[in-house]
Amino acid sequence: MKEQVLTQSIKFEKKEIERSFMKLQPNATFSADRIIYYPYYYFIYNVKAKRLFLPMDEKVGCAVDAINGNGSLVDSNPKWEASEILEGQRMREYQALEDCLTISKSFIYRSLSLKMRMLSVSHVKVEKQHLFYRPYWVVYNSKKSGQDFIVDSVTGQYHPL
Amino acid sequence: MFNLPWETALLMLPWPVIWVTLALVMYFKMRRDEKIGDADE
Amino acid sequence: MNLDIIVFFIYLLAMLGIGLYFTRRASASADHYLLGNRKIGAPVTAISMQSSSMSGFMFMGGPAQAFQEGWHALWYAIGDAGGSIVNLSVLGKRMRRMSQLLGALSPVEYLEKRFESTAVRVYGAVVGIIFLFAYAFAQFIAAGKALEAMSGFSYEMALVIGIGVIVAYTVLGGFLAVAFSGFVQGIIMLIGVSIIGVMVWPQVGGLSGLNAQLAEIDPTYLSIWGKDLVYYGQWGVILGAVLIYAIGYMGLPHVSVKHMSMEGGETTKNAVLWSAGFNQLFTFTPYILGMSAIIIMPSVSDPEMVIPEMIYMVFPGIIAAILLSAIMAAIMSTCDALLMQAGTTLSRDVYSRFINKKASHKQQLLVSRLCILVGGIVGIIVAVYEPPTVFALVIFAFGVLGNTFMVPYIASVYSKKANKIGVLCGMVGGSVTNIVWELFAFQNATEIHPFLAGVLVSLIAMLIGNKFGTPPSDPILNAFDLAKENKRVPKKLEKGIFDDLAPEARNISCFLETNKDIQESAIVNWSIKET
Repeated sequence: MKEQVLTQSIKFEKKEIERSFMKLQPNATFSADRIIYYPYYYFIYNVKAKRLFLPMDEKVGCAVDAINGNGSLVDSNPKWEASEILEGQRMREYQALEDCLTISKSFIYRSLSLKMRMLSVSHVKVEKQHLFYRPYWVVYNSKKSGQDFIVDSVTGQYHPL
Repeated sequence: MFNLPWETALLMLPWPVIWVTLALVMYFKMRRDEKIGDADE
Repeated sequence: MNLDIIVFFIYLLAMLGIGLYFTRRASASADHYLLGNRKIGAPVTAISMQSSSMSGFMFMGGPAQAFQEGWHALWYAIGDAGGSIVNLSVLGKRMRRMSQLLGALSPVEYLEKRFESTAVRVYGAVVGIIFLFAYAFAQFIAAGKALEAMSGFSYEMALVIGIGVIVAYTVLGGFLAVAFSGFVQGIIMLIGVSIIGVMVWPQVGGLSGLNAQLAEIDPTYLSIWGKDLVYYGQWGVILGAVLIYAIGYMGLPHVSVKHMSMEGGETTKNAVLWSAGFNQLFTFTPYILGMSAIIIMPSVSDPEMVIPEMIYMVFPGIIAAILLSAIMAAIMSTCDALLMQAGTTLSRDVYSRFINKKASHKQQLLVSRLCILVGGIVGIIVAVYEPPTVFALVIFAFGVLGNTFMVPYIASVYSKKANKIGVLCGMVGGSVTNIVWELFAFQNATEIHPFLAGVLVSLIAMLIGNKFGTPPSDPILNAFDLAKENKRVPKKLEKGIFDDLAPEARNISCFLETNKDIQESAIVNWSIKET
C-alpha cells in the first residue's frame, strides 16, 4: 500500500553512503539496505517580540519528534516534496499533533527568552503545522558482530542502531 | 629550576606541559577524525 | 565624568553596534542565536568562549591570591587549566548522549529525568539559583572595582553603576553574547594580557628573576605550602585546590539546545579543544602577574586591584581604559550567562511548578527577569556592606555547585545502580558539607579543603543512600546502556557519530525489530514525555 506524504528529498544516495562507510571501516561490507521514514511535526511560528533596538518579526521553525515528543530547532524554510512511501517504510507517529504543538510552543518560548533575550514576546503564532517524514537510511554491516547504522539521508549524519 | 625549591618545581611546573600535551593529543585526534568525517559527507 | 568612563561607554556602544550588526545580518534565520556560532569557525568560537570565562576571577581573584600567597595560589590555576579537558574526557560524550536520549533541556531537568525524582530537581534548582547568584556577586564586586579604577568614583558609586549596567544589559539584550563581539573582546584581552606580560617580564627578570626576588622578600612565597607555610603538609588542602577546578567543572550547570539541521550542519567539537589550548596560555599569566606585583608594586592597597593598576602602569591612559572596558565587558557577559541561568531555573523549575502551576509563558518570562533584578539589588547590598574577596566568593560558590552536582552527574552515566535516594543524599551531603566547612572554618582544624570534604561526603552519602532507593526503571536502564554503548564501532566510525540522532536511532531500531507495526508498548516505555 502506498500513500502520498510530505518528505524531504534524499540527498545522500545508497552508493555514496556505502562507499563512505567502507572507507571508514575497510574490513567490513556495508549495505544501505532501505529507507525508513521517520515522522516529525513541523511548526512554523511567526514571532513578534521586543528587544532592545532590534524588534524581532520573523519566522522560527521547530520540529517535534512525533514519536518521542522531543523538540528541536530547524531552518525555517526547508523544501518539501510529496512522495509515495510504502507502508513498511513508514514509522507511525505516536504523539498527537495537539500535544506536540504545546511542546513546540514551550520550546520556542524557552529559546526566545533564554537564547534570544527577548524582553517581551508579544506574538507567537503558528503559521503552518504539518506532519512530515524524514528519510533515514538503514545501513547494515555484513559482519555478524558488526554495528549497524542509521544515516540521515538529508545531512549524512549517522548514528549506530 | 627557575630558582624554585625542588618541591615546587617538581610538583607544579610539569602541569602546563601535561595539559598542553593532553590538549594537543586530543585536538589532533579530533581533527584527524573530523577530516574523515568530512570525507564521509 | 573623566575621559576613561567616556571611553568605557563608547566601548560598550561599539560592542553593541557589532552585536546589532551581526544580529541583523543573521536575523534571516533564528538559528544564529539559538545555536550560537554554529557556522563560525572553531577558533572564533573558542576565543569568544574564553573571553567570557576570563572575567572577574581571572583578572581580580586569581592575581590577588597569588599576590598574597605566592606560588601556592597556582594550584588553583593548575586545576583551572585542565578543567575543560577533564570535563570533556570524563562526562563529555556520555552525558551528552544520555541527555539527548532523555530529551532533557537543562542540566537540572536532566538529573530529574535520569533519576526520576522531583525532589532531585527541586533541590538542584534551589542550590543552583542561590550559588549561581553567589558566583555572580563575585563578578559584581569585580565589576565595581574595575569601574572604580577607571572612573575614580567611590566604590559604592562604581558598584551601583556597574551592577546597574550589568542587570540592564542582561535583561535587555545580551548583545555581547553574540559570537563576534565576544571574539573582538577576547582578542583585545588576549593582546592586553600578553602585552602586560611582555612588559612586566623583563622588569622582574623573567621567571627565574621573579623567584629570586620573591625568595629575598620571603622564601616561603616559593613554597607549594603557601606563604609562611600555613598549609604545611596539608595535602587535603592542596588536593582540594586543584580538584575544585579540575573536576568541579563537571558540576556546573549549562544549557543545551538540540538542533536538527534541515540542510546539513557543522560540528563545533574543535572549539572545545581550541579553548583548552588557550586556557594553557592565559590561565597562568594573571597569577604570575600577581606574583610580579609583589616585586614591582608592593604597596598596592587592594590586592584585587593588581591587574588594573598594572594596566595603568603599562599602557597610556586611553588604551588602559579600553582594556579595562574589555575586562568590564567580559565580566558583563559572564554575569549575563549566570543570571540568565539562575532566572530561568527559578521561573521554570520553581515558580511554574510549585508556586503558580498555570503560569503563562509571559508570566514565566517576567518572573525570570524580576529574579535577575532582585538579584542585582541584593548583590549591591552584599557588595557594599560585607564584601568578601572575589577569590573567596568564587571558590565558595564554585565549590558548592561542584559538590552538589558533580557526583550525581558522574553517577548518572557511570553507575547503573545509582538511584534517586542515593543521588539526593549525595547532593545534600556535598553541598551541606561544603557550606558547613566554610562557615565553621573546618579547614584549619582538619587540614582538608572544603571542596575535597564535600566530594568525599557526597560520594559516601551517595553510596549509603543508594542502598535505600529503588533501582531505576527499565527505560532509564535502557538509556544508560545505550549512552555507554558502541564499543563495537571502530574508532574511525565512532568519532563521526552524530549524537543528536540517538532518540531516532533508538526508535528506528524498535521499528525494525517489530518490522511492521510498532508495538505501542515499546514506544510508551521508551518515550519520556516532556513535562
